[in-house]
Amino acid sequence: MSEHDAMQLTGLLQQLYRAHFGKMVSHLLLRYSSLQLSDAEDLVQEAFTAASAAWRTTLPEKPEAWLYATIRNQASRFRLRRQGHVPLEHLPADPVAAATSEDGDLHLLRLLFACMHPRFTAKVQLVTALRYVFGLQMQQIAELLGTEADNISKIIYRQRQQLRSGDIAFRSGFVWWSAGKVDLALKVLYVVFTEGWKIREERLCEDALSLTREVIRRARVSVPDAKALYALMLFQLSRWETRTNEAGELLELEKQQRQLWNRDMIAVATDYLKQASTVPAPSTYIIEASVAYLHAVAPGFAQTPWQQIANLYAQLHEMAPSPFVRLNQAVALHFAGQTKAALHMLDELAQEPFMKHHHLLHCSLARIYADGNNNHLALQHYRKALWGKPSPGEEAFIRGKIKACLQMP
Amino acid sequence: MKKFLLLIREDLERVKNMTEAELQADIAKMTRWAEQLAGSGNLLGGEPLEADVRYVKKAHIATDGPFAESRESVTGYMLIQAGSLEEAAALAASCPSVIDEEIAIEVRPLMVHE
Repeated sequence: MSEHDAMQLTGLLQQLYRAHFGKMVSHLLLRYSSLQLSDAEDLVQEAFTAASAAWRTTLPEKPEAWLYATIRNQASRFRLRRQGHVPLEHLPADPVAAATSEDGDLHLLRLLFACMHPRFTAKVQLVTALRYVFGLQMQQIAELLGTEADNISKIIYRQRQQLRSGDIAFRSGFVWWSAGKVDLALKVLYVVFTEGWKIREERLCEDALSLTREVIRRARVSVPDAKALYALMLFQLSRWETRTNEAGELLELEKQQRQLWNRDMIAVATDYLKQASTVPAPSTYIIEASVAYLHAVAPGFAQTPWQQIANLYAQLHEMAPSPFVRLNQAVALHFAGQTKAALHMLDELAQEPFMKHHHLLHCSLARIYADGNNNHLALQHYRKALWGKPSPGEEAFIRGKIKACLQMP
Repeated sequence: MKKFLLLIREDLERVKNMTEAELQADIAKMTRWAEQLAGSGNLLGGEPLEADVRYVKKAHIATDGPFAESRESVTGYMLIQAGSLEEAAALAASCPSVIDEEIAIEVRPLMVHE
């Protein structure tokens, strides 16, 4: 095998791992009721190890099907022997077709629901979902959540013993009646989507989107929040392509080419938001989706109903207070022509220890000063923003702004 | 451990006339109980049933049941495991919808030949 082929094989394995790890674990738990999560996880890992050796000589025609057949094989043998380790001897020659992708989403949703236990903390739920449902490695999760890989592996290790195939998510259709599990699952899907959006990892966003759709399809309780979240995700994704220029640099909303926003997605999202909005009192998801809707259908940046958006943020802040909501509210107020009120709000935020050095706060202040032709203060705040924790993309954006400020007379 | 089928029976007329809020409250109650059974390791499976129905006899397919006077019908089933019929019955009796007299549960041991 040439070096080139070896690299291709590694790439293929990584791709399959990312796409199928969670589905395979869930597939085993659904099929073999006596398996523990940790067993299922080990069996899937072993199958990938086996694949990386076996596929060097011959690549199976259907690699996915090969993997599924291997884990099923091993699981039956594991069950028969009930011992810690089963040597891999019987690799499949001509495996049956793998589960369709629709089954795959359903399996993932069951696994997600099984992770959503009210007695786990929100962080533990998120970490578990990222590991098992979204197939991320510990190191990737640590980077995403800004923590040490060590912390993540501790959480995962404890979870491995708590999650089991006995969970109602794997046992019965009554799980689709569980409003509690739906709520928790939506929270995680929201966070995963937002994180994916931030780090521009389209895959993560699309996975969160398709699982949200699966919640809407499967849940037997009414799911206005799932519909609103689905709408929110679609509104965001409709402008995925225009967020960056050809060089991959972040573009501000007003510089994005609106005619390239995906109108079909916006139409579907609008429909879902309408369906969701029939409830008597709006949820935070509905308000956030409403903001996204107003942006999506505004003919241009200047024609955006900024005052209405600021009001929605005010409403959102009352329901779920957050400095980031306040920040967005202030920016909307500025664009609505109430710069004084905006600055007042941002000054208040700057008193909070958490926000004081946040790059988004300083970027907002800098933008407002730049709009008021106060180049000096704008420059000062863009420089402060660099001291925060901008992502590499954001840092490049800020540096570009600083350069522009320095070129001003 | 033995296996038992729980047949959930209730008045279809009552189900049909429930408001959306009542229905959701009903669902929440039943789900909590099913989750408890899953948590204690008793639940093996089960599904709620749709209300649509056909009664089939030779040369006869109808939407009315053989017992026209009875409006009670099966609206869901669960497969559970328990030590004995008594234990299974005690589990069924712990269902909040049974306690609130909204449903009745028929507990039937499976004939399992192993």
